[in-house]
Amino acid sequence: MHEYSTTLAIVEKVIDEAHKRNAKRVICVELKIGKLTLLSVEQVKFCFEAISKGTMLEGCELVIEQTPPVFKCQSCGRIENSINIDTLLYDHTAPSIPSFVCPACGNRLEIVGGKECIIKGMRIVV
Amino acid sequence: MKVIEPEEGEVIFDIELDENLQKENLRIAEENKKILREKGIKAVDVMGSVGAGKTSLIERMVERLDVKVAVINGDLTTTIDADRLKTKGVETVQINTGKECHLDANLVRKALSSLDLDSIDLILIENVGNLICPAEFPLGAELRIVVVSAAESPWAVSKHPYIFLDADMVAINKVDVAKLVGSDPTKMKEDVLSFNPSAEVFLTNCVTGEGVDELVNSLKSKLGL
Repeated sequence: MHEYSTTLAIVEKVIDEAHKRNAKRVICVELKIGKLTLLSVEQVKFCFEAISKGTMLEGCELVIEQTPPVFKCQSCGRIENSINIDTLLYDHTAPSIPSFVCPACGNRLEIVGGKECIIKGMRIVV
Repeated sequence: MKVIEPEEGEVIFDIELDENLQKENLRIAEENKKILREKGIKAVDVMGSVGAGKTSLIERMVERLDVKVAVINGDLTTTIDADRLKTKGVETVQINTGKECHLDANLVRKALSSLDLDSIDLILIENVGNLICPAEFPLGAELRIVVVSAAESPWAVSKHPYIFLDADMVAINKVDVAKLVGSDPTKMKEDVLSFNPSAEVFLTNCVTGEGVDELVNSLKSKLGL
């Protein structure tokens, strides 16, 4: 949903950090994007290529690790990371919607992971 | 994609950054929470699609609450919502986002600075009409209400699971027009509970006031008002 502005922020941050280290170029950027963010990885890749053109990131490799959603049951404390949300988010022909309910006790699951968007690191040429 | 490799005499360094891009919004949201707590103010984020009835629900809530309420209205443009609420005798601030499809913690911070926080018990924050993006931007409110209307289609809830995951209360509004558009509010309620079994769901009609007393009573007890 907000891929362009998010990717712009990523590119600006990377350039800023690269300048601090007197880099000539950035050749790889590694991101961690949670599956519960509203960011489409394909769109981020597209925006990254477009935005980095003409900058020290042009032609840079982009590695994106998609992190799974992690839930914690508010009642029994169970950590649940096996709920597959791919059908929910990407396959609108799926016959059923997954339920975000604790498989052990049936109570509410709190989201504890999968909403992150993190620049893990970068590879620079000095 | 063409990958650029280092040339002779150049050195490669791997840099660890661990930079969280949502950090700034989360930080300001936490600060908002702290500011409000220090002043003893409760805040509620009211989210929902365009035309779901967020402003109408807030009007009905204001009429039923006997504490000092202020309302922050978010919209791309106009002061229509803030003007409507002003006639109910509450202090209002209209945030015009221009192009943004959601409020963020910083916009709410600015709105807070234009309110007299010493004379307020409760702030109702009406987010920009949108059933998707506001879910991604915490504002610092301690309670989240989602308003969705039966008029939006029978699948308005099942197609937008994300926003309901963190909701404390949900109003399925405009139940009076459900039959006309082929929606079933009870099924929509089941859809909400399938995502989030601890959400409190109310079937409401903000024109007649049906279901609103129950919602307001629950809000009062949740917030200790």
